[in-house]
Amino acid sequence: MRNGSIVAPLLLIGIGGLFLARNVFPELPLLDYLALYWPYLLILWGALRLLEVFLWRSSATNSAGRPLPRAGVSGGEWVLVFFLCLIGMSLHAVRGFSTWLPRAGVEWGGLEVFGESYEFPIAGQATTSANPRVVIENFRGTARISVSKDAGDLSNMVKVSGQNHIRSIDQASATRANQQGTLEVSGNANQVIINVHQDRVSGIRRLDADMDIVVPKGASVVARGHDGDFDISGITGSVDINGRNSSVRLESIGGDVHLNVQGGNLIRAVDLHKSFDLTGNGNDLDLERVAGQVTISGYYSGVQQWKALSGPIHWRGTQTDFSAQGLPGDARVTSSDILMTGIEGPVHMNSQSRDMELNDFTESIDLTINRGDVKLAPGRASLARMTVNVNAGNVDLAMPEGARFDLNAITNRGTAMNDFGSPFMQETNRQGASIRGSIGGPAVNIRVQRGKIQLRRVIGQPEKPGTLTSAPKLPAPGAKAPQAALPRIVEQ
Amino acid sequence: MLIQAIRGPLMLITLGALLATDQAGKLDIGRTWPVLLILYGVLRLAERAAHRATGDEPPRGMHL
Repeated sequence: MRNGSIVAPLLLIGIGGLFLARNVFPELPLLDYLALYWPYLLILWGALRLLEVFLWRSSATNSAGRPLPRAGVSGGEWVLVFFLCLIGMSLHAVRGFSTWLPRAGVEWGGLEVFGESYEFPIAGQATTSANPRVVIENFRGTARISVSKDAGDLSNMVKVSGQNHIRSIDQASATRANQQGTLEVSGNANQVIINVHQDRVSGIRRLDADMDIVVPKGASVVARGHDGDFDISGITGSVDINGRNSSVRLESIGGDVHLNVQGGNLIRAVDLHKSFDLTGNGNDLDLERVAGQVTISGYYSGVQQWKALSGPIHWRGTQTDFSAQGLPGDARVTSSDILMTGIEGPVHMNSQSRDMELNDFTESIDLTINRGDVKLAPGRASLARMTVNVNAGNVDLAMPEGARFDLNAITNRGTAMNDFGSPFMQETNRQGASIRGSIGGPAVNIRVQRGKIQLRRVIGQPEKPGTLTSAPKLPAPGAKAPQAALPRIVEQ
Repeated sequence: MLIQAIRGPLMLITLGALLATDQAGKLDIGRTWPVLLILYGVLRLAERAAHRATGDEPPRGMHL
């Protein structure tokens, strides 16, 4: 009879025992045991084989009938060992004991597939000066930062309260994660550092903190984090956020705001008393009542809405560069359209491919558009210099009755329509057309390579910029600006 | 011959021990794996010495 190892039968017995135990005691966390102690199976296996070798040897020396095996562990067994290691390591990682796969969570499109959410309360506080710098490190989750309503000494404190939300397969694993991701509030009177240590949490467990942070009114906030949403209101200090996949909501901020957010889902800032500086990219951007300079640099795929921006604006997008001295009215910018009403010039706009409609602007305007239709309605009789260059697209110029300007509008390929009447003369040549004339005013130069030019006269008293009582209704995303948005126009 | 026969089980036990200490969070297997090479080398040397002592031709090649 061939010498068989006892390991194979033992393995079968073991597997059978495991399944039986699982059926008899379903609440036993067998997989956890396996994930934790599988290396001991290897030791047991080796010990058994060693024992067998010695047994064989003793029987070989005794009876000389059973030669020693050439190798203590056969090739097939090594293959099994290899698979056991693979399974063991995977289990170890999946059950959240491993530090090998940092953040290797099973996440499909932002949706966590496995496990359930466990909550643990967190709290911390620190006494500070009246205007401390509050630093939030490595943050993931939601942080609401507001101003203390207490008076006196209590106002000079930073208080953190909230929960840790931990997504995990079981309670024990979640508790371990909570111990790793403990809230730490450290620093001194002038600088408080808030850290939930989410980077320490290993495995596929995911820790999101939901924090309410109460700070003194004079505080400044510095925050860094992935997947961190920030909601800051009421502070008189500055805000500096550096994040990825973050949403930021700011309200009543006294200091300068500097945001560097990649993949910002929503950025909304209302009532900023100083400047606003945004770098990065994202989806929607909402700006309202900003007193200082506004600088936006980056691509926003959703809808940008700007309203009542008192300071100079500079927007540097991937395809568009826009600057103006202010926007007392409002603006709506999508990836295909720009609609602005109530702009303080001089206005500079340089765009690759967007339709645009600019209403009610002051000072000079300088537009260069590669592809897109342009509608200009200065909305007031006293005009300034206008220069419009369009490569492919139509230009619609709606001038108020009584406006004085010198027009030189030329399209190289397309038609020109003069609905304003005299003294402007319309000429048509072989492929192109032009409208020229003067009623003694600033120069309005329009150059179109391919497209129509239309000059119209708007009758009625135009409203003054910035004092629009009813701003034009904003079109739905993706929709063209409705004709009704323009001041009343008389077609002749 | 005996050493050759126990080499596999010893390697297996060592591998298990290294993995166990790794998973207990003490020593990373990424740092301790050379122990396996050393053990293998030592066992091969012991095997050669045993063959010398008995006057046999030592086996060539590498096998566990």
